[in-house]
Amino acid sequence: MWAIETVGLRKTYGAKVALEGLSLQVPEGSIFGLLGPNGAGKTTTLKLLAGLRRPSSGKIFLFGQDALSDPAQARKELGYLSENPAFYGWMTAREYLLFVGSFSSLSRKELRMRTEYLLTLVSLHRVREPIRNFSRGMRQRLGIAQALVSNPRLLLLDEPASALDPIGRKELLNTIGSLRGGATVFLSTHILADAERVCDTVCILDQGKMLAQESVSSLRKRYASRTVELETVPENEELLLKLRRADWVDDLKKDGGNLSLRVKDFTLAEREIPKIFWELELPLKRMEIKEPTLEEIFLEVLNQGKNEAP
Amino acid sequence: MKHLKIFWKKEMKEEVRSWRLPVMLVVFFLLGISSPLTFKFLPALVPPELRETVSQFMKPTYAEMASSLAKNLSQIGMLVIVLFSMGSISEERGRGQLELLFARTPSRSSLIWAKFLSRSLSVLLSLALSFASFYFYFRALFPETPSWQGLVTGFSLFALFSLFVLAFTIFSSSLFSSGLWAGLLSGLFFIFLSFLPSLGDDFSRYSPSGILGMANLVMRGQPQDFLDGVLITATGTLIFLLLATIVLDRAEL
Repeated sequence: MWAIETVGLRKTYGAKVALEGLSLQVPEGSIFGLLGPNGAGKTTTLKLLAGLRRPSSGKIFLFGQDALSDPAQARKELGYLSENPAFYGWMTAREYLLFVGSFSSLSRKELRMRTEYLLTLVSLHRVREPIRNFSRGMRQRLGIAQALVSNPRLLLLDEPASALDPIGRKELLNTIGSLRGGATVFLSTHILADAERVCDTVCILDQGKMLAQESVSSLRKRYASRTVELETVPENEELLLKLRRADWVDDLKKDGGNLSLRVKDFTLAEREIPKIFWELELPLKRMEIKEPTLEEIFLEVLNQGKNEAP
Repeated sequence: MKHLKIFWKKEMKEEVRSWRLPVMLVVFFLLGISSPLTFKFLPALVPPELRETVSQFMKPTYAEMASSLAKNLSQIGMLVIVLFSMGSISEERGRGQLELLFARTPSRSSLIWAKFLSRSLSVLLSLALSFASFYFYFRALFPETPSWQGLVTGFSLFALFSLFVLAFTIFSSSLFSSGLWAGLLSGLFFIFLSFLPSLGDDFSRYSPSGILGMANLVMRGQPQDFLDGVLITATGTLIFLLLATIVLDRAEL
């Protein structure tokens, strides 16, 4: 069963189209990343899923239940963290968790235990001061705790790591990673390294349109083996000429003796490169297939999307 | 019902911790004691040549003081209620506090009712304190015995109108993301309402603000037929609360 399934989800604000026919499926128990530049429609998507906004058209199913016709039932096991979480400043973190947790089906005792566990998890268990005095990082950590308080099956996180320091980010990603297989996590982020680290599947959005949705490993496979890095003697014009003329080379960048080739066909490149070096009697000190980062894949998908746009 | 109880508890705590309730109690207490104190001590404070003029305007009778209390409550008291309630929904909405709550699906109408009930309690307590302090200060400073019946009826009419003001302010607060706009709309609405009784007897009889004038007269010891005004004000209160729940239910956060 899909934890989330959207069909032709569209959202407009007046004449502006924020989301254009988004159809995606999120497997239960997975960690799903929604990537995209600012204004891509990430927050709109999350708000639609959380029931905070109504779609202009399209359907949303959460664990197979129609979230538009029966929102209360479909969203009863949902945890949500907004991009800039806002709390009641006069409450303490403990009071806030007990307050929002009381909407869940947890008993009073379970809720108290869960609250203490989450406060420890987000390192706020010793903080007694009201939330109004919290730093942005502390608020973000409390936001994560409140999203988890009802032990949700589905967690919607909008830019969860954006306000955290590197240690906080690492801890958060570990926490999210530990949920894999249990709760389904749907997170939006522009920090691609985070998505790369925890997400099983990603969806790339740009200007409200979905450009790609597949697993990180399959994206890597599709875009893998396109770049080969070579290390040789610096400034050999003949070598550069031969490589530039080769029809399997898309692009060549040089930095002293380091060459970076974008190739059309890696099998061909793997066969031809040593041959060229042998013919020119040049040393090939290093030949390395460069794994593309999610960031590079993301930029490439965005560029492709822009080129394909009418 | 469960959600209403949770929200109500939170709202009551907020009334105390945000100092809204204590400040309201102080303001209404001051409104209550201001009439007896002013009538008792003002003539002594003004220069001797003005004393006769002042005592002509400020006859220290129960009726005059009750009327002064009624005027203070219907102006300053209602303004305080609007000021303290104009951000009830709009501020939480504007700041994004409602997002985290409503993603959990508690019914949005529970929040409206919880806000209304908790703030009603604060308003009623404050009003009661105002009338009680008026009564005790009057008894302490003047020999006349105030009319219990008039005070209780006056309190009831003021209480009803205050709840009407509260309901409208919560409704206007649900329309905007800024408390300022909500306050402005409420202010304009009550200025408009306050003019209605001056348009004729029917307007005075059937307009919610007409019951304030009747409260004034009742407190002065003049019986009034206020049933129509009471029914209209109570109905208006319910209508504005229902409208607020509809607006918040449809609001995109």
